Amino acid sequence: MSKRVQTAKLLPVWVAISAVVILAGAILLGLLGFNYGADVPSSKRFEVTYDTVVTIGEDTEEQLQKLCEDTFADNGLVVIEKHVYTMTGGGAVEYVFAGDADMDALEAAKTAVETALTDEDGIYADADTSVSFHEVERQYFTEATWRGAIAIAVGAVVALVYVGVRFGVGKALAGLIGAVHDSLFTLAVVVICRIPVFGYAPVLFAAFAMFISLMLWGFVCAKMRTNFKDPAYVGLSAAEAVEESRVSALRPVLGVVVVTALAFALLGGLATAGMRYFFLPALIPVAVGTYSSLVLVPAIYAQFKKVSDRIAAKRKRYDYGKGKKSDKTETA
Amino acid sequence: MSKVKSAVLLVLATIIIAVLCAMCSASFPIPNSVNEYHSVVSIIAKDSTLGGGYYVTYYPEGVISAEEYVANSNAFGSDTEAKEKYQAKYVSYGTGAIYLEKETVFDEEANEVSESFKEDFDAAATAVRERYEAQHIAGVKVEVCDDYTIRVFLPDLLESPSTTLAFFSYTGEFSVAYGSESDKVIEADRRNTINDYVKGVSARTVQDTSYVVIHFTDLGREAIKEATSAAAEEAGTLYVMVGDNAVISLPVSSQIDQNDPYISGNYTAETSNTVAVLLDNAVNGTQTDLKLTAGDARYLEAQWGENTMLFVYIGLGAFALLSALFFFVRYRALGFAHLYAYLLYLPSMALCLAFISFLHLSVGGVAAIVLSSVLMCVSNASVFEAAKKEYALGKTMVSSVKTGYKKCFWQIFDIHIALALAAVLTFAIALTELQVAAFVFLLGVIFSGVCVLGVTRLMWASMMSLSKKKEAFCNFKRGEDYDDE
Repeated sequence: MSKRVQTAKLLPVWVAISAVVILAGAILLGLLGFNYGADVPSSKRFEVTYDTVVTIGEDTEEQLQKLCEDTFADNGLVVIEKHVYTMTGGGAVEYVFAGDADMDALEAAKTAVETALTDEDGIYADADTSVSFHEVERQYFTEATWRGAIAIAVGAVVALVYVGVRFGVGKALAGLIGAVHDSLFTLAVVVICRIPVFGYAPVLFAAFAMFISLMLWGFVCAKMRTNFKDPAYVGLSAAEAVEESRVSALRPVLGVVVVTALAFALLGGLATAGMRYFFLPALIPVAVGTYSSLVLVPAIYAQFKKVSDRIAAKRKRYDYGKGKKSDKTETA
Repeated sequence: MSKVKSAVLLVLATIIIAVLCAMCSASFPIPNSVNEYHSVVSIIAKDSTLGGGYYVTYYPEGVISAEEYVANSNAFGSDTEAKEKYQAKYVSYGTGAIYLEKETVFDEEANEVSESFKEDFDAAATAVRERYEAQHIAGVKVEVCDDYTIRVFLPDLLESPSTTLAFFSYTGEFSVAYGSESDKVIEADRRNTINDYVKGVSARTVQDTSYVVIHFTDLGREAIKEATSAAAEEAGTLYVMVGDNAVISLPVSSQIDQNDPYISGNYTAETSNTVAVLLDNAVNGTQTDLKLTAGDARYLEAQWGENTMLFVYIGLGAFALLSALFFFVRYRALGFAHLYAYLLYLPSMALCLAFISFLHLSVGGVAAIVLSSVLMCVSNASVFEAAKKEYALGKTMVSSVKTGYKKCFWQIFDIHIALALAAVLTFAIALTELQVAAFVFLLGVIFSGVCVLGVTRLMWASMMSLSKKKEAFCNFKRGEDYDDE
């Protein structure tokens, strides 16, 4: 048993890794913010509106879209998104380009599409069409973000108050550190790796990191509760006891991690581009939760347990609280 | 459990699950009728990314689209002089997608957009953003387009999107008139600002009746009281206005003497909220007098493509299949107990998403469903493993199951309660996407707990009692140390 005390011993290393990543993330967040690339915050949009002559024609809309797409390809323009709208008396097709898309190329594409649409021999000769392109800047809402951050923090605290009542204060404190760490670490990785996200995705990632952290730490705590009652654990030091429990909790923890990762990878892999932007980066909170529940948080908890064991031993020595189990909070 | 009871229970459970699954997934025409049955899944509201929504462009006074400019020019027909006169009033701006009216927007001397117009537009864009943000609807987007128009995207989650799109284009000062729209009772003047009369406006819904509540100050209350003092003898109409638009027209037949009058009408919770947000923004938000005109609304199918939901269902189905496969491979026929519980869990989630009014399916919601499914699968696996371990030690099958559940109960219970608490608090405090995701997760955690501790156990007991070889049924084996002699 004594061979397995690496995790607790390496606590300064884990703390340093987390601190560096979180700090780097915070600095980059301040300097660059999140990469809202998935939302296309600043874009150029090419739009063709048309009347019912186009919408009722057989394949006319598709041909019009093909005309636009061929023209973009000829002008070296890369389409990010395509939206087809229905509206009273017709419809519209809109192509989204990056904010730095070449204006001259868009102008050339506009002229080419306009020419094709107004060609008297063309299939759109009788249609009422209009071609334009726009520069668009997204305005972001902030209330949902800060309310989300407060919600995650309060949710974690209240859940861990319950953990404190059921498993002991040390486990609750370690779990709280873990939940906050996981949320921040996840966001830091998203910022550092410049992962393209949607406006609300960072809050969701932080929330899922918190939920996953709670779930995984819950399994570890449950294992510790069972194990610490085992007479075989009586003679072990805090670090050894935590390490043994951590190892025995590997199965349920890895079970949760593998199944969650599999599900997110399935959804991210199978789904459309938009879903992929959410579900593949959603593997980050899963990975961070695994690291924290199996490595960082047990190492932190080992320190808490060491202190509480020392206090318990002291109480026992001086016979404080006669008849009480002096280490009730930690071994319950 | 006796065999007969078990068989009856299993048949009943199978029928219930089959009916629920069919209800949730199959849409079909009702025989001898023009009506069609829509599956539960198909009626679940979806956010803008999975569903769709409406786009509208707000044009400020003095700004028109190129399309409108061309149409108006062509309307002059052969009257070249009038056409040129009209065209001379406008100048193309930016990409040529909008035209600016020189007289309204331009600083003639500098030959560029006037600073005052820029400030007015910025204020209008901020006011519009504040209104949509305050409405707390997931998936709303506000964009500034071509520097001087505002594009708004409203997800297809509202009952009356046109009301919201129209009302939020109203600009101007808050005022209250009585008798006619021009007889102002409350308006900002040299002595008093509007906040001296009104503190704010909110919406309330009590027992299916929705109200707009205007919170007057004592000064505002006095002004209304005085204006409506003769209402008992001669009924009049109280107008609550934003700029030139009467947002509320309230017939008054008695004197109003309240600080917080509740105004009802044909409001739904949604429309009362829209009106309250607009009025509150006119009182406490960014002030703007720049008139906005809403262009034609356009409907967009799912923002991420029409097949997005199909792929989500395929992804969820593949996950369900793989998890079932794991249970069948590891626990053989006992996998059915998990499958039954899972097949009860999924329709329960679908029914809640379809029939709880404020819920809709979003990316966060899908992730929440996945996470709670994982919780359920892992919890079931934990119990099965605990029972397997007990059986390996030499206990009887019944005793193993009982001990397995006993050993895992508090672990499963505690994790579910901790997660449910976190989800409840997150739901209560967060807004829009996270709020919905947290509630979906809460439902998932509750159903997971019920399914693991109730349904799976019941199914296990009833299925096992019908099985002749219980050991083979569960794929449980005695440990090497066990000696049955």
